[in-house]
Amino acid sequence: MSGATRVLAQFVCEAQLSVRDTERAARSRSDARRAITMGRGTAAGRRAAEIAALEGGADSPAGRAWLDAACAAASALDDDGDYGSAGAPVWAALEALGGSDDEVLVSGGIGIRAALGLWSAGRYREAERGFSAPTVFGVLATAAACARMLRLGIDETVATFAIAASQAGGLLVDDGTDARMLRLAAAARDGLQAAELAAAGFRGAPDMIEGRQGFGEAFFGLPLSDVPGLADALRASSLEGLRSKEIPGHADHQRPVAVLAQLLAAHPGKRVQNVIIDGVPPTSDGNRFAAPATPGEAARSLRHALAVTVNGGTVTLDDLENPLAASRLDAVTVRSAARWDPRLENPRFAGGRLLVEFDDGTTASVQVD
Amino acid sequence: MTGFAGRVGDFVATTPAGALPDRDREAVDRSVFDTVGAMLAGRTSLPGSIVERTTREAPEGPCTVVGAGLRRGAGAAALANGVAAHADDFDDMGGYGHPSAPIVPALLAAVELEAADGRRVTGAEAAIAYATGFELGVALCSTGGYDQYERCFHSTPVFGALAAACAASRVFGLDAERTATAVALAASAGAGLGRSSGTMVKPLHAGSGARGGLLAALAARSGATAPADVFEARGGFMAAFFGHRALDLDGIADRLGAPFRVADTVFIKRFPCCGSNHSALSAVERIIEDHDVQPDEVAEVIVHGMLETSPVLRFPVPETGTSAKFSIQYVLATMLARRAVGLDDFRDDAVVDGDVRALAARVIPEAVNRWDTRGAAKHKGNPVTVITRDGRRLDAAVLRTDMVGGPRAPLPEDDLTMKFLQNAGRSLEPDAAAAATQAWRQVSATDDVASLLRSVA
Repeated sequence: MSGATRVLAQFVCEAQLSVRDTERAARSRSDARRAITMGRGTAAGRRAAEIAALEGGADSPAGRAWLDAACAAASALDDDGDYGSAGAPVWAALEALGGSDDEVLVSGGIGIRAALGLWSAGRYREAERGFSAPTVFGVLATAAACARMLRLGIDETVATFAIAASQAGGLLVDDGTDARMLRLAAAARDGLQAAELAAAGFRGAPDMIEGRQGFGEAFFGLPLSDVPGLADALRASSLEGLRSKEIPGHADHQRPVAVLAQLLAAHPGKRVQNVIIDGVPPTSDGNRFAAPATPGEAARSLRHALAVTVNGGTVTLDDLENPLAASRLDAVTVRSAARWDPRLENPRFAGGRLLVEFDDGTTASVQVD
Repeated sequence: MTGFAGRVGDFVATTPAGALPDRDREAVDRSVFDTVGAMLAGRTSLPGSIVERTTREAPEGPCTVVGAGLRRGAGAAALANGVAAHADDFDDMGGYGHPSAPIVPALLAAVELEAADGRRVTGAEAAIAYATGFELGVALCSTGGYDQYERCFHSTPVFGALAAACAASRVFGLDAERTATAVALAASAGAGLGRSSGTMVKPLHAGSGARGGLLAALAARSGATAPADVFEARGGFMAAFFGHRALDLDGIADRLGAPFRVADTVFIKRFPCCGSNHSALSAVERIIEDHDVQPDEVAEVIVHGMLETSPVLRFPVPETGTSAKFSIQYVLATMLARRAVGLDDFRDDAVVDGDVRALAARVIPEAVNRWDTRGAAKHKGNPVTVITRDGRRLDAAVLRTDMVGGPRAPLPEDDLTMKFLQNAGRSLEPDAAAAATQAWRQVSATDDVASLLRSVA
């Protein structure tokens, strides 16, 4: 069997997308379009447009991909997958390239699946490694999608991965600032350019994923030598884990906010004294900021999301844009439980209990799954 | 902004241009000169020409793609010029891999953006912009003991993006706060895997570093936000790239520009190949000079002091010109067979030359024993022993620190000029190359850096 890079390339060139995954890809693409549109109106989206104009590439496919992915990130409405924001860079790049709906959906779906397979096979642990998974794997997903879209052969797709893997990066500490938006934008641009360069004859290390000092060693800690494991992970990959967002913000905000809104609706006229949620993983990026001061921080503040839900019944983009307007932060307590081995814990919110104390002394609680 | 980024922002934004000592300013002049020459040659290489071709499709803009007759947006120009600068591996080295290939393209693009807005950037400002950026790169990478082979990321793009962000911020005249933001944004732009050595992707790292740094400065200028504790935090720069957060960042910040380190750090290359070859190449050159050894006399060439498993010079039988730059066997055989090592020795057709290949097969890299507590000391370089067919052992050793082109033995002026002329001659007619030599030799003395670019447009 050939090496991991070639196995990945072969998957990108030859894999088919199931009907279910095609439907999921369509939903993800639709989410990205909505996120891009909404993001253009945010302060961060306007800054991204200004940067793109100064940088001078906004009228090129790579420049359009960059700006659209930035806007999607700015809205915090882009969808979420196992390695974090999955759809935005991929769809932004494919829309910039252009193509039929069928081609775009299949290419995007296969690209995301390729990145998911690699993420899974390498057991990437972003909290340990320090690099943000959505940007590290986003550039590979985008590169794979664009390679498929451009109908590159296996050697060219290997080159695409060699180029894109060497552009992978982005720090975890970026969350809550424009740096995250800029890195997701770079993932879209660099993935697209990797495929374009490969198509033009640019070549890199053919064993980039498995070779010494390659992607596997840099991001997983060891060269990815388990090729059968990668092949299995690619076969098993699906878009089932892609999750649309109902509200702008982190994936870990979605269910708690929805559950709190339902609970409040079931108790009309009652004034909330306190909201307590437990079971939030210590590693949750959605619980990064207790008292957000910027839109980026608000998008990563579960406490803020619950506070504005207490006031308004849901979270809107305006709430994120004006985080200092949130008035009930002190009413919300977010509890994380210590775990013996947090390294093996899924960093995502997988369930907990939401307790609401009303000022009439009554309480209501509900399980958040 | 507080923390290390804030300290860097203060340093870059507030250091007066006059604070740069003459010898460092001269070193900056030489590096910028050499880098522009490297761009003019590199754009004709395979990776340089592919990137230039794709850059032609980018929208027009105010920034010069050197030697190409193109003006494009700042990002596209920085990328293309950065790739060209490093495409032949003939650009300078020291401190953090290849320092100028990311800095100079970002600096020039920033200068031309300023010119498009009617602002003129002097050579003195450009020199301090370069030097403050270089300081950050060398401070973190060298002083901090970053090991690119262990950490898997090339130091050129990782620290180069930071340096480029500083240089561009200074050219834009950003205040300390926004410069700190640019540095924080550039910290996240680092990427570039070691596996790319010997492939076209390595020069792409330099271009990406240039573009990433420039974009960070533009973003900061536009009011973008960035993590203030990007270096110190969990999930930050130190944790991700160094693997720990135990570095004395305050001490590093204290020593920025005290003294400046350009003159004592940068090497101007004499050979267009990976710098890890250069000590051994210099030794073989000395053996040829001293003994006039002929290729058919050579029985074996032993290269001492190699790393146990070299992660860089990993192409014993290279198939392409790009990989041949990372083959100690090929470059030493070339020196012995052709008496010099130049750009044309790294064309794909030159690499498959049977005579050189036969000689390369007799080059034996001798690794330092793993259990030798002295280890493979990089500064010692690689002594060489040539064993002739008649049994003579011809030894020579050139410490890396003593190599011609380095701080202790700067490249003689005539050689520097000749290198530029030859590089420039790959893109420009002789008269134009001579004019470019005059224009670029002392960038710090010009009143208007943007005007120089007309000579290499």
